[in-house]
Amino acid sequence: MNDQEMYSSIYDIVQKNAVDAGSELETSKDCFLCITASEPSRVDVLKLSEEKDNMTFLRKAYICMLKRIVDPAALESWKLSADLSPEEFQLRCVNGLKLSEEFFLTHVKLENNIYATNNPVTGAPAAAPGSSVTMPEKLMRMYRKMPDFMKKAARRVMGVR
Amino acid sequence: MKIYIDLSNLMLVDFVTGIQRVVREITARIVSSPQHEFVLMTYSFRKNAFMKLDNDLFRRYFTGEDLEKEVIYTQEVVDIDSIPCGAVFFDIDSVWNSRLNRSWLFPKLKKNGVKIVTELYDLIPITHPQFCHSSTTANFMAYVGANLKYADLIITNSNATVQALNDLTDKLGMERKKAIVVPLSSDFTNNGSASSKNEVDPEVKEIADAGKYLLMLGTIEPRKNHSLVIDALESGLAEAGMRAIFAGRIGWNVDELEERMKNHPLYGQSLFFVEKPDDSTVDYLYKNAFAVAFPTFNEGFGLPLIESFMRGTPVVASDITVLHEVAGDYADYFDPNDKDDFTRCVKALMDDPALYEQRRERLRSYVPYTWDESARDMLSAIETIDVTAKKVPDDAKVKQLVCLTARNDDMLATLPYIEEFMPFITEVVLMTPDKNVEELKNSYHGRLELKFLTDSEILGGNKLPEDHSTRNFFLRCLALKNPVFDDVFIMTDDDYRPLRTIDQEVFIKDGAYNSYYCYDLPRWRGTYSRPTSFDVCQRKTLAWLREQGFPTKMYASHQMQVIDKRIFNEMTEKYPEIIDKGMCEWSTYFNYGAAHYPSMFRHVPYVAMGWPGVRSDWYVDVVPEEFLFENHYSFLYTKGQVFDGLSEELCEKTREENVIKCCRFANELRKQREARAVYDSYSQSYWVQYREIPSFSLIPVKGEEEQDGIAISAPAYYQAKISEWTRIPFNVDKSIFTIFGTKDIELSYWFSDEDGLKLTSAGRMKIDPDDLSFLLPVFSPSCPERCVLNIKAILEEKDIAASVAVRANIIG
Repeated sequence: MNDQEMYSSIYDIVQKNAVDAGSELETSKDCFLCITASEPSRVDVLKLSEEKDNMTFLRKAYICMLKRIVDPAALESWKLSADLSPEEFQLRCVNGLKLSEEFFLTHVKLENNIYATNNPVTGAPAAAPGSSVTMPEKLMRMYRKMPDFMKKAARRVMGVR
Repeated sequence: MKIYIDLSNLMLVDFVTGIQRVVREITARIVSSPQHEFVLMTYSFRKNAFMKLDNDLFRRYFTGEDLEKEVIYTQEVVDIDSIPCGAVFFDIDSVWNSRLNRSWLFPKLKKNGVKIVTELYDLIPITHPQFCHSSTTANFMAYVGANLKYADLIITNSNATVQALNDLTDKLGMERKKAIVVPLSSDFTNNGSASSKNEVDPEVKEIADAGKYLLMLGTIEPRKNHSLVIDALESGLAEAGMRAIFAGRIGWNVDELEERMKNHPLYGQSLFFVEKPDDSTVDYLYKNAFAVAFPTFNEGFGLPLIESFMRGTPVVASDITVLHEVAGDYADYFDPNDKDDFTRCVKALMDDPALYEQRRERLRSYVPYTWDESARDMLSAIETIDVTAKKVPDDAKVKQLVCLTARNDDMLATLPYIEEFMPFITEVVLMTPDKNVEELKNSYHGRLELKFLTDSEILGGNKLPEDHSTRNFFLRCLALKNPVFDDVFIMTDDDYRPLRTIDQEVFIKDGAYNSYYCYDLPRWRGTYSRPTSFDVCQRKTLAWLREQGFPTKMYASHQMQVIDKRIFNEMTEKYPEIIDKGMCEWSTYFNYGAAHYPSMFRHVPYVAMGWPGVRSDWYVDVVPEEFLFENHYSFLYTKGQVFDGLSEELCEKTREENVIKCCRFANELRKQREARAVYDSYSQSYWVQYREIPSFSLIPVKGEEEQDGIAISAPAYYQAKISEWTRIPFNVDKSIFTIFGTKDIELSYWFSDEDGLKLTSAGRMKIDPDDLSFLLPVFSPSCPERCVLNIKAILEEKDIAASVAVRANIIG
């Protein structure tokens, strides 16, 4: 039995104990497995983004980024954005939490942050189309010596923006 | 034995009760034990490491000396990976809510061969989750799971907890854990602990002195069943002249109870609450109570019972198994769900002074377990996993070398090196295809006695697997049953060559086998995204090692290693299913050995050059301190390569040239380290600036008109050393494969100047759908000026592409 299977089985046993006692676990199995897999000081945002259910994503983001279960007030507040597309919701959620003082104090590092405001997908401009076009070495040496207006013309000719 | 103890929770709290009290009493005692070395620590999430505490100041502070708590802390960092193989990590504190979750920590410790011992106080959040906060329950489940999988020993304070643990492992279908019961003590007033020097709170004294009272000590929480006592007071007990004092702190989910208690008409008359009493006040309350009431629904031990007995105060307790185990005939029992039964129990003592006196008299014969005894027994329990027990005999001699080979040329070129540099080897067993034997016999005329074990002899009718790694492991597993092998021998491949004269001490020293590791398996990413048979084999091995809860170091160090055939065979007999699964023969064996015979295996960084073959292959995490072996690659001797101009075969100049080889190869590794240092420094600065680790990810995006597309998420800028290889983290969102229904994604990457002109040739690689998190090998340009790192991804069949251009600072 691997770790995740074991934790999953433990969850089932405890959930049954709770139900038998007229109660139930407030933490979902997904979130519990997220707790067991979370690193103390790193969060892989790309991996986290695999969760496409907005509210589950939120719960997992709190566990991973703030190291706690989402509080009822925050949950209510985020519910207002629950209808957003997963991408938009995740973007807001990750950046919202990232900018919080609480996150700053956790000293957690974000890894593979596909929602970073400074990266080309979500913020900065994307790569220029055609930027992979290469000039022959000889032409390149000539190009380097050209004045700016000629460089511009040459680039147009070469299809390089 | 070196014993590490995480005391983060004890050091954090200002009110020592329950578990913290146990932690304080036990640790303050065992830390003075001269037989062992103790490292007391707290976890720092800023550093993601432990910080060492001063043992002496810890002991002095927690045994009552007038010190500031802050003086106990030191600035010494204990990195988690620095806890050595064979050390014991003793988890005695209440750590389940710790940021350093054990589900993450324990696999890491086990990876390094650390033994884990846990004091498990109870399993209440598992068996009775309704009594616990949801957050605590979730964290506790993770904590218990980690212990079930990774702990070497569980210490409990009652058989009831062992039973609960066994019930859980049985339900999970797991092997029962080794568990030892060590009862707890309660003589906390006799140790002069920090808080016991205080005066009794006069207000509390006044309440206590005003008449008979039942004492309930402990956190106010649903499980403790305080309501039953209030119910009983209401229904006649108060009228009969009995009062109740609740002492402790307000816990979870008791708002209603707290409101009921504090607004109760009897509050302040027959019902009292003493919040966070110090030890002296607790002592006074115990001594002067008519009886201690313990109507709890569930307990791991029931410390208040013992504390009460020691002061000669009778106890009325819930009729549950664990309390019978702890209190035996010294307490009177009632049904915790029946207030009338509780009232009956108390009234019996109130109404019959002779009976009450008899109960008190009986307690005079009570012999408490002392903290000294608890600490002694706990240490004895830890010593049962003594890691220094088994040793390799001092007179163990190795004379045999065993090699699996299908390449006669390589083997014949290597044998002279063995002859020349390994004088203690007199015999070589060659496991080889039948067709190779004759040529080997005829071509070799040296001093070594060659013995042959052919594939057909090994296989005995079994089919030879096609995959290289599977074949190697399969053959070795089968072969090692053959009596031709000595119990202890050196295992090698036909291209591992000694570089200078070595003796047996390279392999066996001070009663332990040297086990040369080269990596942590979980960090192994291979050379490129497309995994080789070797990489797949390492992944399979890691999965198996993790499943077994074994350490996970990588021992495929491409050098000779010593093998104890008995331990190897024990492993394959215990886990016969692995034989044809293509595992790594080195990492399975040495990690199995580390888990089962830690004292017999000493883990040392590998000493082979040529692994990696070239510095761009993969990052060297474990840096060899010296080179004793060469993993021979012919191409390294070709023009422009690192051993260009040096001889490939043993000759007169070999010794001299081997010194040159060592220097050249060390220089290669130095270049890699320097490039890596530049990247690490960039990564750190980037984190400080953006709170992120720079990395690249290929993700699906919604394009214009809702058409799906792909994009490359990238850091704001990139930095690398001039003209050097850097490997940058690259991740691929796995959903791309399902969205676009393709497995064919190609990455190309190159540097250009800011105008888009290429400064380096483009590297290309196909993405392997089974390896979506890898390190992209990027060679930086030779111009120390601002340029751009371009990465392009193409879904070949779909005519979909994405590219990104990131400003790059190339450091000279």
